[in-house]
Amino acid sequence: MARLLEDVMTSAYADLAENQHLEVDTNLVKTFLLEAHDAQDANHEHVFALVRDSFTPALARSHRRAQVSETDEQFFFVIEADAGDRHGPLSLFIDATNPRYWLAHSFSKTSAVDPVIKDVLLDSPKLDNAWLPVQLLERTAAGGALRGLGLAFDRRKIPDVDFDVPDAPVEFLKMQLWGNRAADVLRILREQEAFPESTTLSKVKIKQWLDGDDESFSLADVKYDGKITVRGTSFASYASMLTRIVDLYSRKIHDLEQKFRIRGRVEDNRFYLDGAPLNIRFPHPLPDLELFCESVFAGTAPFKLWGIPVQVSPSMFRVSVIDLHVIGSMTVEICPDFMRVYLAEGACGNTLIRLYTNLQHYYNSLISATDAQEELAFEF
Amino acid sequence: MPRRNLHLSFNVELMNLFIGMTRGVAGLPRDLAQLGYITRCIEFRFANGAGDQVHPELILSSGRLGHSLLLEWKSGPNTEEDQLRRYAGVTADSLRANAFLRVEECRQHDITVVGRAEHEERIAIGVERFNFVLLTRTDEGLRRVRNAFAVPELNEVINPVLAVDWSLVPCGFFPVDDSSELWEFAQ
Repeated sequence: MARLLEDVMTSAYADLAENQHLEVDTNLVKTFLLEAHDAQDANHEHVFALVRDSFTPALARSHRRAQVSETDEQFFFVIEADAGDRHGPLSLFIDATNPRYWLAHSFSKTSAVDPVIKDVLLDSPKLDNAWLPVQLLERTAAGGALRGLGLAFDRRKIPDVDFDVPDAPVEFLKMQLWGNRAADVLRILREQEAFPESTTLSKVKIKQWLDGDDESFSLADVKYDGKITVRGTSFASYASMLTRIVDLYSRKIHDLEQKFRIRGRVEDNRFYLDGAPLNIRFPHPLPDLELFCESVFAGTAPFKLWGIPVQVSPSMFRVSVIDLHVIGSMTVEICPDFMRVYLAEGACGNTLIRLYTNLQHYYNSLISATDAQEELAFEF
Repeated sequence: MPRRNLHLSFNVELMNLFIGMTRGVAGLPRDLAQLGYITRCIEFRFANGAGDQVHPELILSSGRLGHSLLLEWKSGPNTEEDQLRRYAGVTADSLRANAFLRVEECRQHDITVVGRAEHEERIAIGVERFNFVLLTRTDEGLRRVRNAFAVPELNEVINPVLAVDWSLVPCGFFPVDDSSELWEFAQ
Protein backbone atom coordinates (compact mmCIF):
# COMPACT_ATOMS: atom_id res chain seq x y z
CA MET A 1 0.00 0.00 0.00
CA ALA A 2 2.85 2.36 0.89
CA ARG A 3 4.53 1.69 -2.43
CA LEU A 4 1.36 2.41 -4.37
CA LEU A 5 0.73 5.62 -2.45
CA GLU A 6 4.32 6.72 -2.96
CA ASP A 7 4.02 6.14 -6.71
CA VAL A 8 0.87 8.24 -6.88
CA MET A 9 2.36 10.91 -4.67
CA THR A 10 5.59 11.30 -6.63
CA SER A 11 3.90 11.19 -10.00
CA ALA A 12 1.48 13.94 -8.94
CA TYR A 13 4.40 15.99 -7.68
CA ALA A 14 6.30 15.55 -10.93
CA ASP A 15 3.25 16.69 -12.93
CA LEU A 16 2.82 19.72 -10.72
CA ALA A 17 6.49 20.62 -10.83
CA GLU A 18 6.68 20.35 -14.59
CA ASN A 19 3.30 21.59 -15.73
CA GLN A 20 2.01 23.57 -12.73
CA HIS A 21 -1.19 21.53 -13.00
CA LEU A 22 -2.20 17.90 -12.66
CA GLU A 23 -2.71 15.67 -15.67
CA VAL A 24 -6.24 14.44 -16.17
CA ASP A 25 -6.98 11.54 -13.82
CA THR A 26 -3.88 12.24 -11.76
CA ASN A 27 -4.85 13.07 -8.20
CA LEU A 28 -3.12 13.97 -5.00
CA VAL A 29 -2.93 11.53 -2.14
CA LYS A 30 -5.38 12.42 0.57
CA THR A 31 -5.54 11.04 4.06
CA PHE A 32 -8.43 11.32 6.48
CA LEU A 33 -7.69 10.87 10.17
CA LEU A 34 -10.66 9.02 11.61
CA GLU A 35 -11.46 8.02 15.16
CA ALA A 36 -13.39 4.89 16.05
CA HIS A 37 -13.78 5.55 19.71
CA ASP A 38 -15.01 2.17 20.94
CA ALA A 39 -12.48 0.17 18.93
CA GLN A 40 -9.59 0.90 21.29
CA ASP A 41 -8.59 -2.72 21.83
CA ALA A 42 -10.50 -4.30 18.98
CA ASN A 43 -9.11 -7.22 16.99
CA HIS A 44 -8.84 -7.42 13.21
CA GLU A 45 -12.27 -9.02 12.73
CA HIS A 46 -14.00 -6.45 14.90
CA VAL A 47 -12.35 -3.57 13.04
CA PHE A 48 -13.19 -5.11 9.68
CA ALA A 49 -16.84 -5.39 10.70
CA LEU A 50 -16.75 -1.76 11.82
CA VAL A 51 -15.23 -0.62 8.51
CA ARG A 52 -17.82 -2.61 6.55
CA ASP A 53 -20.78 -1.47 8.67
CA SER A 54 -19.67 2.16 8.53
CA PHE A 55 -18.99 2.43 4.81
CA THR A 56 -21.45 0.04 3.19
CA PRO A 57 -24.71 1.98 3.79
CA ALA A 58 -23.27 5.27 2.52
CA LEU A 59 -21.74 3.62 -0.54
CA ALA A 60 -24.90 1.68 -1.29
CA ARG A 61 -26.87 4.91 -1.54
CA SER A 62 -24.55 6.63 -3.98
CA HIS A 63 -22.59 3.96 -5.88
CA ARG A 64 -23.52 1.27 -8.38
CA ARG A 65 -20.83 -1.04 -7.16
CA ALA A 66 -18.99 -1.07 -3.87
CA GLN A 67 -16.76 -3.54 -2.13
CA VAL A 68 -15.11 -3.49 1.28
CA SER A 69 -12.40 -6.11 1.59
CA GLU A 70 -9.59 -7.30 3.77
CA THR A 71 -6.01 -7.40 2.51
CA ASP A 72 -3.14 -9.75 3.22
CA GLU A 73 -2.09 -7.55 6.09
CA GLN A 74 -3.83 -7.42 9.44
CA PHE A 75 -5.80 -4.20 10.07
CA PHE A 76 -5.50 -3.04 6.45
CA PHE A 77 -8.67 -2.81 4.39
CA VAL A 78 -9.57 -1.65 0.90
CA ILE A 79 -12.75 -0.01 -0.25
CA GLU A 80 -13.47 0.20 -3.96
CA ALA A 81 -16.57 1.72 -5.45
CA ASP A 82 -17.85 3.24 -8.63
CA ALA A 83 -20.66 5.71 -8.85
CA GLY A 84 -20.57 5.60 -12.64
CA ASP A 85 -20.38 9.36 -12.88
CA ARG A 86 -17.81 11.94 -13.91
CA HIS A 87 -16.06 11.79 -10.53
CA GLY A 88 -14.59 8.46 -11.44
CA PRO A 89 -14.01 5.39 -9.29
CA LEU A 90 -13.30 5.55 -5.59
CA SER A 91 -10.49 3.72 -3.80
CA LEU A 92 -9.87 4.02 -0.10
CA PHE A 93 -7.12 2.25 1.81
CA ILE A 94 -7.82 1.99 5.51
CA ASP A 95 -4.85 1.59 7.81
CA ALA A 96 -6.30 0.61 11.20
CA THR A 97 -3.11 -0.68 12.78
CA ASN A 98 -4.14 1.56 15.63
CA PRO A 99 -7.72 0.25 15.89
CA ARG A 100 -9.04 3.48 17.37
CA TYR A 101 -7.26 5.96 15.10
CA TRP A 102 -7.52 5.09 11.43
CA LEU A 103 -5.76 6.54 8.44
CA ALA A 104 -7.98 6.45 5.36
CA HIS A 105 -5.78 7.10 2.30
CA SER A 106 -7.11 7.77 -1.16
CA PHE A 107 -5.90 9.07 -4.48
CA SER A 108 -9.36 9.31 -5.96
CA LYS A 109 -10.69 12.68 -6.93
CA THR A 110 -11.71 14.96 -4.11
CA SER A 111 -15.19 15.13 -5.57
CA ALA A 112 -15.40 11.33 -5.37
CA VAL A 113 -13.95 10.74 -1.92
CA ASP A 114 -14.95 13.74 0.20
CA PRO A 115 -18.73 13.21 -0.09
CA VAL A 116 -18.31 9.56 0.90
CA ILE A 117 -16.28 10.40 4.00
CA LYS A 118 -18.81 13.09 4.87
CA ASP A 119 -21.73 10.66 4.49
CA VAL A 120 -20.02 7.97 6.52
CA LEU A 121 -19.33 10.39 9.35
CA LEU A 122 -22.90 11.63 9.26
CA ASP A 123 -24.25 8.08 9.33
CA SER A 124 -22.04 6.32 11.78
CA PRO A 125 -22.26 6.97 15.51
CA LYS A 126 -19.01 5.06 15.90
CA LEU A 127 -16.76 7.21 13.74
CA ASP A 128 -15.72 10.83 13.79
CA ASN A 129 -12.95 12.72 12.11
CA ALA A 130 -10.05 13.78 14.27
CA TRP A 131 -10.30 17.42 15.36
CA LEU A 132 -7.01 19.27 15.31
CA PRO A 133 -7.07 22.40 17.47
CA VAL A 134 -4.86 25.33 16.53
CA GLN A 135 -2.19 24.18 18.99
CA LEU A 136 -1.87 20.79 17.29
CA LEU A 137 -1.64 22.38 13.84
CA GLU A 138 1.13 24.64 15.15
CA ARG A 139 2.96 21.73 16.74
CA THR A 140 2.68 19.80 13.49
CA ALA A 141 4.01 22.77 11.55
CA ALA A 142 6.98 22.99 13.90
CA GLY A 143 8.06 19.54 12.70
CA GLY A 144 8.92 20.86 9.24
CA ALA A 145 9.08 24.07 7.25
CA LEU A 146 5.88 26.09 7.09
CA ARG A 147 5.06 26.80 3.44
CA GLY A 148 1.58 28.21 3.81
CA LEU A 149 -1.50 28.34 5.98
CA GLY A 150 -5.23 28.84 5.99
CA LEU A 151 -7.41 30.77 8.41
CA ALA A 152 -11.10 30.09 9.00
CA PHE A 153 -13.36 31.82 11.47
CA ASP A 154 -17.13 32.15 11.33
CA ARG A 155 -18.88 33.76 14.27
CA ARG A 156 -22.26 33.61 12.53
CA LYS A 157 -22.93 30.13 13.93
CA ILE A 158 -23.18 31.64 17.41
CA PRO A 159 -24.77 35.04 16.76
CA ASP A 160 -24.96 36.29 20.33
CA VAL A 161 -23.94 39.85 19.42
CA ASP A 162 -25.17 42.57 17.10
CA PHE A 163 -22.72 42.51 14.20
CA ASP A 164 -23.83 45.95 13.02
CA VAL A 165 -22.58 47.95 16.00
CA PRO A 166 -19.21 49.72 15.61
CA ASP A 167 -17.19 47.56 18.03
CA ALA A 168 -18.76 44.25 16.99
CA PRO A 169 -16.45 41.28 16.64
CA VAL A 170 -15.33 40.05 13.24
CA GLU A 171 -18.18 38.10 11.71
CA PHE A 172 -16.25 35.98 9.25
CA LEU A 173 -12.60 35.66 8.33
CA LYS A 174 -11.19 33.28 5.78
CA MET A 175 -7.76 33.53 4.22
CA GLN A 176 -5.17 31.41 2.42
CA LEU A 177 -1.51 32.36 2.57
CA TRP A 178 1.15 30.55 0.58
CA GLY A 179 4.89 31.00 0.73
CA ASN A 180 7.62 31.40 3.26
CA ARG A 181 6.20 34.64 4.69
CA ALA A 182 2.91 33.07 5.79
CA ALA A 183 4.09 32.86 9.39
CA ASP A 184 4.90 36.58 9.38
CA VAL A 185 1.41 37.45 8.21
CA LEU A 186 -0.07 35.19 10.87
CA ARG A 187 1.97 36.94 13.54
CA ILE A 188 0.75 40.34 12.38
CA LEU A 189 -2.89 39.24 12.32
CA ARG A 190 -2.56 37.94 15.85
CA GLU A 191 -1.25 41.18 17.26
CA GLN A 192 -3.44 42.90 19.79
CA GLU A 193 -4.43 45.74 17.48
CA ALA A 194 -5.22 43.37 14.58
CA PHE A 195 -7.59 40.39 14.76
CA PRO A 196 -6.31 38.03 17.45
CA GLU A 197 -9.79 36.79 18.39
CA SER A 198 -10.75 35.77 14.89
CA THR A 199 -7.42 34.63 13.47
CA THR A 200 -7.94 30.88 13.75
CA LEU A 201 -5.55 28.59 11.98
CA SER A 202 -7.46 26.03 9.94
CA LYS A 203 -4.74 24.58 7.74
CA VAL A 204 -0.96 24.39 7.60
CA LYS A 205 1.18 23.51 4.58
CA ILE A 206 4.33 21.79 5.75
CA LYS A 207 7.37 20.66 3.89
CA GLN A 208 9.24 17.90 5.60
CA TRP A 209 12.45 16.21 4.52
CA LEU A 210 13.51 12.68 5.23
CA ASP A 211 16.78 12.47 7.16
CA GLY A 212 18.02 15.77 5.80
CA ASP A 213 17.92 14.53 2.21
CA ASP A 214 16.94 17.51 0.03
CA GLU A 215 15.47 15.23 -2.63
CA SER A 216 13.25 13.21 -0.29
CA PHE A 217 10.43 15.29 1.05
CA SER A 218 6.68 15.61 1.40
CA LEU A 219 4.59 18.75 1.14
CA ALA A 220 1.36 18.31 3.07
CA ASP A 221 -1.72 20.43 3.69
CA VAL A 222 -3.00 19.50 7.15
CA LYS A 223 -6.54 20.69 7.91
CA TYR A 224 -8.18 21.08 11.31
CA ASP A 225 -10.83 18.49 10.42
CA GLY A 226 -8.22 15.79 9.99
CA LYS A 227 -7.98 15.84 6.21
CA ILE A 228 -4.45 15.91 4.80
CA THR A 229 -3.46 16.33 1.16
CA VAL A 230 0.10 15.54 0.15
CA ARG A 231 2.53 15.63 -2.74
CA GLY A 232 6.28 15.23 -2.86
CA THR A 233 8.92 12.60 -3.40
CA SER A 234 8.94 10.59 -0.18
CA PHE A 235 6.03 8.70 1.26
CA ALA A 236 8.24 7.74 4.21
CA SER A 237 8.59 11.39 5.13
CA TYR A 238 4.81 11.79 4.96
CA ALA A 239 4.23 8.61 6.96
CA SER A 240 6.50 9.86 9.71
CA MET A 241 4.49 13.08 9.91
CA LEU A 242 1.23 11.12 10.08
CA THR A 243 2.64 8.95 12.84
CA ARG A 244 3.59 12.02 14.82
CA ILE A 245 0.15 13.62 14.44
CA VAL A 246 -1.69 10.44 15.41
CA ASP A 247 0.64 9.94 18.36
CA LEU A 248 0.08 13.49 19.65
CA TYR A 249 -3.65 13.29 19.02
CA SER A 250 -4.17 9.89 20.61
CA ARG A 251 -2.14 10.81 23.67
CA LYS A 252 -4.20 13.96 24.07
CA ILE A 253 -7.48 12.04 23.80
CA HIS A 254 -6.25 9.58 26.42
CA ASP A 255 -5.22 12.45 28.67
CA LEU A 256 -8.60 14.17 28.27
CA GLU A 257 -10.44 10.98 29.14
CA GLN A 258 -8.29 10.40 32.22
CA LYS A 259 -8.63 13.92 33.56
CA PHE A 260 -12.12 15.01 32.67
CA ARG A 261 -14.28 11.93 33.00
CA ILE A 262 -16.15 12.07 36.30
CA ARG A 263 -16.15 8.54 37.64
CA GLY A 264 -17.49 7.11 40.85
CA ARG A 265 -15.96 3.91 42.15
CA VAL A 266 -16.06 1.86 45.32
CA GLU A 267 -12.90 0.35 46.72
CA ASP A 268 -12.41 -1.14 50.18
CA ASN A 269 -15.98 -0.18 50.94
CA ARG A 270 -15.14 3.40 50.22
CA PHE A 271 -16.60 5.67 47.55
CA TYR A 272 -14.19 7.59 45.37
CA LEU A 273 -14.99 10.27 42.86
CA ASP A 274 -12.32 10.76 40.22
CA GLY A 275 -11.95 13.48 37.62
CA ALA A 276 -12.56 17.19 37.41
CA PRO A 277 -14.27 19.35 34.84
CA LEU A 278 -12.53 20.97 31.91
CA ASN A 279 -12.58 24.72 32.54
CA ILE A 280 -13.07 26.68 29.32
CA ARG A 281 -12.62 30.43 29.78
CA PHE A 282 -13.90 33.12 27.44
CA PRO A 283 -11.82 36.21 26.69
CA HIS A 284 -14.95 38.35 27.23
CA PRO A 285 -18.09 37.63 29.26
CA LEU A 286 -20.77 35.98 27.16
CA PRO A 287 -23.30 38.68 26.27
CA ASP A 288 -26.23 36.29 26.00
CA LEU A 289 -25.92 32.99 27.84
CA GLU A 290 -29.21 31.72 26.52
CA LEU A 291 -28.41 32.34 22.88
CA PHE A 292 -24.95 30.88 23.30
CA CYS A 293 -26.39 27.70 24.79
CA GLU A 294 -29.07 27.42 22.13
CA SER A 295 -26.49 27.78 19.35
CA VAL A 296 -23.87 25.39 20.69
CA PHE A 297 -26.25 22.70 21.96
CA ALA A 298 -28.70 22.69 19.07
CA GLY A 299 -27.57 19.26 17.90
CA THR A 300 -26.28 20.54 14.58
CA ALA A 301 -22.86 20.51 12.92
CA PRO A 302 -20.17 21.27 13.70
CA PHE A 303 -20.71 20.78 17.44
CA LYS A 304 -23.17 17.87 17.11
CA LEU A 305 -24.12 18.30 20.76
CA TRP A 306 -27.70 18.39 21.92
CA GLY A 307 -29.19 19.44 25.22
CA ILE A 308 -31.82 21.63 26.80
CA PRO A 309 -30.23 24.43 28.80
CA VAL A 310 -31.75 24.99 32.23
CA GLN A 311 -31.09 28.20 34.08
CA VAL A 312 -30.02 27.16 37.56
CA SER A 313 -28.98 30.54 38.95
CA PRO A 314 -28.99 34.11 37.71
CA SER A 315 -25.57 33.57 36.21
CA MET A 316 -25.45 29.89 35.36
CA PHE A 317 -27.08 27.50 32.90
CA ARG A 318 -26.72 23.78 33.16
CA VAL A 319 -27.05 21.47 30.16
CA SER A 320 -27.14 17.70 30.19
CA VAL A 321 -25.61 17.12 26.81
CA ILE A 322 -25.88 14.17 24.49
CA ASP A 323 -23.12 13.89 21.93
CA LEU A 324 -25.18 13.00 18.89
CA HIS A 325 -22.12 11.91 17.08
CA VAL A 326 -20.46 9.33 19.24
CA ILE A 327 -23.41 8.88 21.61
CA GLY A 328 -21.71 9.94 24.79
CA SER A 329 -22.92 12.32 27.44
CA MET A 330 -21.60 15.14 29.52
CA THR A 331 -22.81 17.91 31.77
CA VAL A 332 -21.95 21.49 31.01
CA GLU A 333 -22.29 24.48 33.33
CA ILE A 334 -22.11 27.79 31.52
CA CYS A 335 -21.47 31.11 33.23
CA PRO A 336 -20.62 34.45 31.59
CA ASP A 337 -16.85 34.05 32.02
CA PHE A 338 -16.39 30.32 31.68
CA MET A 339 -17.93 26.95 31.05
CA ARG A 340 -17.24 23.74 32.97
CA VAL A 341 -17.49 20.46 31.13
CA TYR A 342 -17.94 17.19 33.02
CA LEU A 343 -17.44 14.21 30.78
CA ALA A 344 -19.53 11.20 31.79
CA GLU A 345 -17.99 7.86 32.53
CA GLY A 346 -17.21 6.10 29.24
CA ALA A 347 -17.65 9.27 27.20
CA CYS A 348 -15.14 10.01 24.49
CA GLY A 349 -12.37 12.59 24.57
CA ASN A 350 -13.31 13.35 20.98
CA THR A 351 -16.36 15.19 22.35
CA LEU A 352 -14.15 17.62 24.25
CA ILE A 353 -11.68 18.22 21.47
CA ARG A 354 -14.51 18.77 18.98
CA LEU A 355 -16.16 21.29 21.30
CA TYR A 356 -12.92 23.15 21.95
CA THR A 357 -11.71 23.15 18.33
CA ASN A 358 -15.02 24.40 17.03
CA LEU A 359 -15.24 27.13 19.66
CA GLN A 360 -11.89 28.32 18.30
CA HIS A 361 -13.38 28.42 14.79
CA TYR A 362 -16.89 29.61 15.58
CA TYR A 363 -16.64 31.73 18.72
CA ASN A 364 -13.25 33.11 19.68
CA SER A 365 -9.77 32.07 18.71
CA LEU A 366 -8.44 33.01 22.15
CA ILE A 367 -10.60 30.79 24.32
CA SER A 368 -8.50 28.83 26.80
CA ALA A 369 -9.08 25.50 28.48
CA THR A 370 -7.43 24.36 31.67
CA ASP A 371 -7.41 21.41 34.01
CA ALA A 372 -7.67 21.34 37.80
CA GLN A 373 -4.05 22.46 38.14
CA GLU A 374 -4.67 25.41 35.83
CA GLU A 375 -2.52 23.80 33.19
CA LEU A 376 -3.54 24.31 29.58
CA ALA A 377 -5.50 21.28 28.49
CA PHE A 378 -4.79 21.54 24.78
CA GLU A 379 -1.06 22.04 24.67
CA PHE A 380 0.70 19.51 22.47
CA MET B 1 -35.80 27.86 27.61
CA PRO B 2 -36.59 26.26 30.98
CA ARG B 3 -35.77 28.55 33.87
CA ARG B 4 -35.49 26.92 37.19
CA ASN B 5 -33.74 28.74 39.90
CA LEU B 6 -32.67 25.58 41.52
CA HIS B 7 -31.92 25.92 45.13
CA LEU B 8 -29.50 23.11 45.55
CA SER B 9 -30.13 21.40 48.83
CA PHE B 10 -27.79 22.53 51.57
CA ASN B 11 -25.99 19.19 51.52
CA VAL B 12 -25.61 19.00 47.74
CA GLU B 13 -24.42 22.58 47.55
CA LEU B 14 -21.71 22.14 50.19
CA MET B 15 -20.62 18.79 48.83
CA ASN B 16 -20.14 20.24 45.35
CA LEU B 17 -18.53 23.40 46.71
CA PHE B 18 -15.86 21.65 48.77
CA ILE B 19 -15.10 19.00 46.15
CA GLY B 20 -14.99 21.74 43.52
CA MET B 21 -12.61 23.84 45.63
CA THR B 22 -10.17 20.96 45.87
CA ARG B 23 -10.32 20.36 42.10
CA GLY B 24 -9.62 23.80 40.71
CA VAL B 25 -13.11 24.30 39.36
CA ALA B 26 -13.55 27.60 37.50
CA GLY B 27 -15.53 30.19 39.41
CA LEU B 28 -14.63 28.90 42.89
CA PRO B 29 -11.83 29.98 45.26
CA ARG B 30 -8.64 28.11 44.46
CA ASP B 31 -7.08 28.48 47.91
CA LEU B 32 -7.77 24.94 49.12
CA ALA B 33 -6.37 23.39 45.96
CA GLN B 34 -3.33 25.64 46.20
CA LEU B 35 -2.73 24.48 49.78
CA GLY B 36 -2.67 20.93 48.47
CA TYR B 37 -6.05 19.80 49.80
CA ILE B 38 -7.64 16.87 48.00
CA THR B 39 -10.92 15.10 48.57
CA ARG B 40 -9.97 11.87 50.33
CA CYS B 41 -13.26 10.39 51.54
CA ILE B 42 -16.88 10.97 50.62
CA GLU B 43 -19.53 9.83 53.08
CA PHE B 44 -17.13 7.32 54.56
CA ARG B 45 -17.97 5.68 57.88
CA PHE B 46 -15.05 4.66 60.05
CA ALA B 47 -14.21 3.93 63.69
CA ASN B 48 -12.67 6.60 65.89
CA GLY B 49 -9.94 5.92 68.47
CA ALA B 50 -12.47 4.37 70.83
CA GLY B 51 -14.01 2.15 68.18
CA ASP B 52 -17.17 4.29 67.80
CA GLN B 53 -18.45 5.09 64.32
CA VAL B 54 -18.15 8.50 62.76
CA HIS B 55 -19.54 9.40 59.36
CA PRO B 56 -18.27 12.74 58.05
CA GLU B 57 -19.69 14.12 54.86
CA LEU B 58 -16.21 14.69 53.47
CA ILE B 59 -12.61 14.31 54.50
CA LEU B 60 -10.16 16.65 52.84
CA SER B 61 -6.47 16.38 53.43
CA SER B 62 -3.26 18.10 52.54
CA GLY B 63 -0.05 16.12 52.74
CA ARG B 64 1.86 19.35 52.29
CA LEU B 65 0.30 20.93 55.39
CA GLY B 66 0.07 17.64 57.26
CA HIS B 67 -3.57 18.33 57.91
CA SER B 68 -6.95 16.64 57.53
CA LEU B 69 -10.33 18.28 57.62
CA LEU B 70 -13.41 16.27 58.60
CA LEU B 71 -16.52 18.10 57.41
CA GLU B 72 -20.02 17.68 58.79
CA TRP B 73 -22.99 19.64 57.40
CA LYS B 74 -25.80 20.81 59.69
CA SER B 75 -28.77 22.10 57.75
CA GLY B 76 -30.88 22.40 60.91
CA PRO B 77 -30.30 24.26 64.17
CA ASN B 78 -29.44 21.33 66.41
CA THR B 79 -26.34 19.27 66.99
CA GLU B 80 -26.27 15.84 68.52
CA GLU B 81 -24.17 15.51 71.61
CA ASP B 82 -23.42 11.87 70.94
CA GLN B 83 -22.33 12.51 67.38
CA LEU B 84 -20.02 15.34 68.41
CA ARG B 85 -18.55 13.23 71.20
CA ARG B 86 -17.71 10.50 68.72
CA TYR B 87 -16.05 13.05 66.45
CA ALA B 88 -13.99 14.22 69.41
CA GLY B 89 -12.69 10.67 69.67
CA VAL B 90 -11.11 10.77 66.21
CA THR B 91 -7.35 10.41 66.50
CA ALA B 92 -4.47 10.53 64.08
CA ASP B 93 -4.14 6.76 64.42
CA SER B 94 -7.80 6.18 63.63
CA LEU B 95 -7.56 8.39 60.54
CA ARG B 96 -4.56 6.46 59.34
CA ALA B 97 -5.70 2.97 60.26
CA ASN B 98 -9.45 3.22 59.71
CA ALA B 99 -9.90 6.00 57.18
CA PHE B 100 -6.74 4.97 55.30
CA LEU B 101 -5.20 8.42 55.23
CA ARG B 102 -1.47 8.68 54.74
CA VAL B 103 0.68 9.30 57.79
CA GLU B 104 1.74 12.72 56.60
CA GLU B 105 -1.90 13.78 56.21
CA CYS B 106 -2.74 12.96 59.80
CA ARG B 107 -0.25 15.02 61.73
CA GLN B 108 -3.05 17.41 62.64
CA HIS B 109 -6.76 17.34 62.00
CA ASP B 110 -9.85 19.43 62.55
CA ILE B 111 -13.49 18.56 62.89
CA THR B 112 -15.43 21.27 61.10
CA VAL B 113 -19.16 21.76 61.26
CA VAL B 114 -20.78 23.82 58.51
CA GLY B 115 -24.21 25.27 59.24
CA ARG B 116 -26.58 27.94 58.13
CA ALA B 117 -25.91 31.48 59.35
CA GLU B 118 -29.36 31.73 60.92
CA HIS B 119 -28.60 28.73 63.15
CA GLU B 120 -25.18 29.91 64.28
CA GLU B 121 -25.98 30.46 67.92
CA ARG B 122 -27.73 27.14 68.41
CA ILE B 123 -25.10 25.09 66.61
CA ALA B 124 -22.31 26.91 68.43
CA ILE B 125 -23.56 25.68 71.78
CA GLY B 126 -22.66 22.11 70.90
CA VAL B 127 -19.58 22.88 68.84
CA GLU B 128 -17.94 25.08 71.49
CA ARG B 129 -17.92 22.25 73.99
CA PHE B 130 -15.59 20.25 71.77
CA ASN B 131 -13.57 23.12 70.37
CA PHE B 132 -14.55 22.22 66.78
CA VAL B 133 -14.39 24.80 64.02
CA LEU B 134 -17.76 26.20 63.05
CA LEU B 135 -18.29 27.66 59.58
CA THR B 136 -21.55 29.20 58.46
CA ARG B 137 -22.93 29.71 54.99
CA THR B 138 -23.60 33.42 54.60
CA ASP B 139 -24.54 35.44 51.54
CA GLU B 140 -20.88 36.40 51.19
CA GLY B 141 -19.46 32.93 51.44
CA LEU B 142 -18.17 30.74 54.25
CA ARG B 143 -17.61 32.50 57.56
CA ARG B 144 -15.47 31.06 60.34
CA VAL B 145 -17.48 31.94 63.43
CA ARG B 146 -16.01 29.75 66.14
CA ASN B 147 -12.51 28.49 66.81
CA ALA B 148 -9.48 28.21 64.56
CA PHE B 149 -8.02 25.49 62.42
CA ALA B 150 -4.87 23.73 63.55
CA VAL B 151 -2.94 25.09 60.59
CA PRO B 152 -2.48 28.85 60.18
CA GLU B 153 -2.58 28.67 56.39
CA LEU B 154 -6.20 27.58 56.49
CA ASN B 155 -7.10 30.28 59.01
CA GLU B 156 -5.69 32.81 56.59
CA VAL B 157 -7.84 31.47 53.80
CA ILE B 158 -11.03 31.71 55.88
CA ASN B 159 -10.23 34.89 57.78
CA PRO B 160 -12.99 35.11 58.75
CA VAL B 161 -14.79 34.90 55.39
CA LEU B 162 -13.91 32.92 52.29
CA ALA B 163 -15.84 34.69 49.54
CA VAL B 164 -18.02 32.35 47.51
CA ASP B 165 -20.35 33.34 44.70
CA TRP B 166 -23.11 30.87 45.46
CA SER B 167 -24.65 31.35 42.05
CA LEU B 168 -21.56 29.72 40.54
CA VAL B 169 -21.38 26.66 42.79
CA PRO B 170 -21.21 23.62 40.52
CA CYS B 171 -23.62 20.74 40.60
CA GLY B 172 -21.67 18.46 38.31
CA PHE B 173 -20.09 16.25 40.96
CA PHE B 174 -23.24 15.43 42.92
CA PRO B 175 -26.25 16.73 41.04
CA VAL B 176 -28.75 15.19 43.45
CA ASP B 177 -29.17 13.69 46.87
CA ASP B 178 -32.00 11.98 48.72
CA SER B 179 -33.77 15.29 49.20
CA SER B 180 -33.81 16.17 45.51
CA GLU B 181 -36.99 16.41 43.48
CA LEU B 182 -37.88 13.78 40.90
CA TRP B 183 -37.41 16.21 38.00
CA GLU B 184 -33.88 16.82 39.22
CA PHE B 185 -33.15 13.11 38.91
CA ALA B 186 -34.71 13.18 35.46
CA GLN B 187 -32.29 15.93 34.43
